[in-house]
Amino acid sequence: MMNVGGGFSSPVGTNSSSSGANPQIMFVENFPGHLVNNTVVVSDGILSVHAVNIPVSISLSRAVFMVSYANTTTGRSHTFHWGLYSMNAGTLSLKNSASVQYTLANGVNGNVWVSMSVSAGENIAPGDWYFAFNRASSSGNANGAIYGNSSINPGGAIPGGFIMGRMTVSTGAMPASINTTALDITGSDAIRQPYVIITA
Amino acid sequence: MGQLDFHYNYLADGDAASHTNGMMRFFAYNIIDSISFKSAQIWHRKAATAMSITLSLGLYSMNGSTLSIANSGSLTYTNAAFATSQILAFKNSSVAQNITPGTWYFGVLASLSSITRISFEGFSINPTNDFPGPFIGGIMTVSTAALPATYATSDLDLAGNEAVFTPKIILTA
Repeated sequence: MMNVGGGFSSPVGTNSSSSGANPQIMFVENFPGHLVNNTVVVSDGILSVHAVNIPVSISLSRAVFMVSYANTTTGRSHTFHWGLYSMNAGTLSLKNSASVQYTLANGVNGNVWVSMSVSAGENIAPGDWYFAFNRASSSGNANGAIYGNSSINPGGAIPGGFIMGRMTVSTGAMPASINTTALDITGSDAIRQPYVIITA
Repeated sequence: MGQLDFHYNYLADGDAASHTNGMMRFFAYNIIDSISFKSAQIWHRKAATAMSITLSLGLYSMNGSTLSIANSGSLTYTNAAFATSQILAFKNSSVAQNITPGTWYFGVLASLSSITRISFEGFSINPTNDFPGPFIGGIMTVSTAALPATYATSDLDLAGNEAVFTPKIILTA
């Protein structure tokens, strides 16, 4: 095998999408997209929430997720909700949210990006945040298949504090606060994480 | 902020995507801490035939919706057929570029003369629609012989497995 040449030329300026004292990134995935292991069923009205490290500031504008359907035969309408929470002493507090009513037409087959615009754009500082996701069905099939991850099946609590879980009672829009001690945190259903990308 | 010695964009095995002569794909890459960028490595999946190829890698920034080249490198690779993935390295021999935190973009171009396609290891989701937000990846719809100095993302194909395929890449100081 021969690998010849291959140097980088002198840099053409130092342009960046972000520079200076407060760098910004354009998008953040809650987990790397290539770790999506399947579609996950988001049960009607059952909110799931999980921790996300945001490494660099982002000017939050929208949240995007992906629905996956195969050969739909009836129109399906869902309202999806997303929330951004901060944590203080075991209680999650709502910082921002977004929602969208989405209708899948007959005959759709494949993966579709769906976008939700946040209620008010704002800059999100680096740190530990929590994404919450919920769905309410308006018509058609009661379950919504969302690209996500549920690859682990924990039998006990994660040592060190809350990382992921889901509510045990139905809710619609994002609650203003969530007590993490009241969440279900064991089992693959409790730790399902829909794949979400937040963007500028 | 700190300074990284390396950074990479994958945590697990993924898929492969074909890359034909003159094909150019772009993908977004978040740099979370500064890195003195001198080298990059990508994965070339197994090949059934011998080959001699030239790969070009461009580092781009975004202004509005136009990608502008900030650095580039190339390599010429000659090998017999092989059954396992190979790492191809773009090794710098001159001045490193310090990349500050932010969203950058890479463009990969293949010039093939002895074979019709190569395969990169990477990952993709197969969306039927364009990503409804900032540019995250796309593929040129026309062939090119060299890395473009600038390129409008509005001219890229943004949907489908090929368009959003992201090669595995490691950046090193």
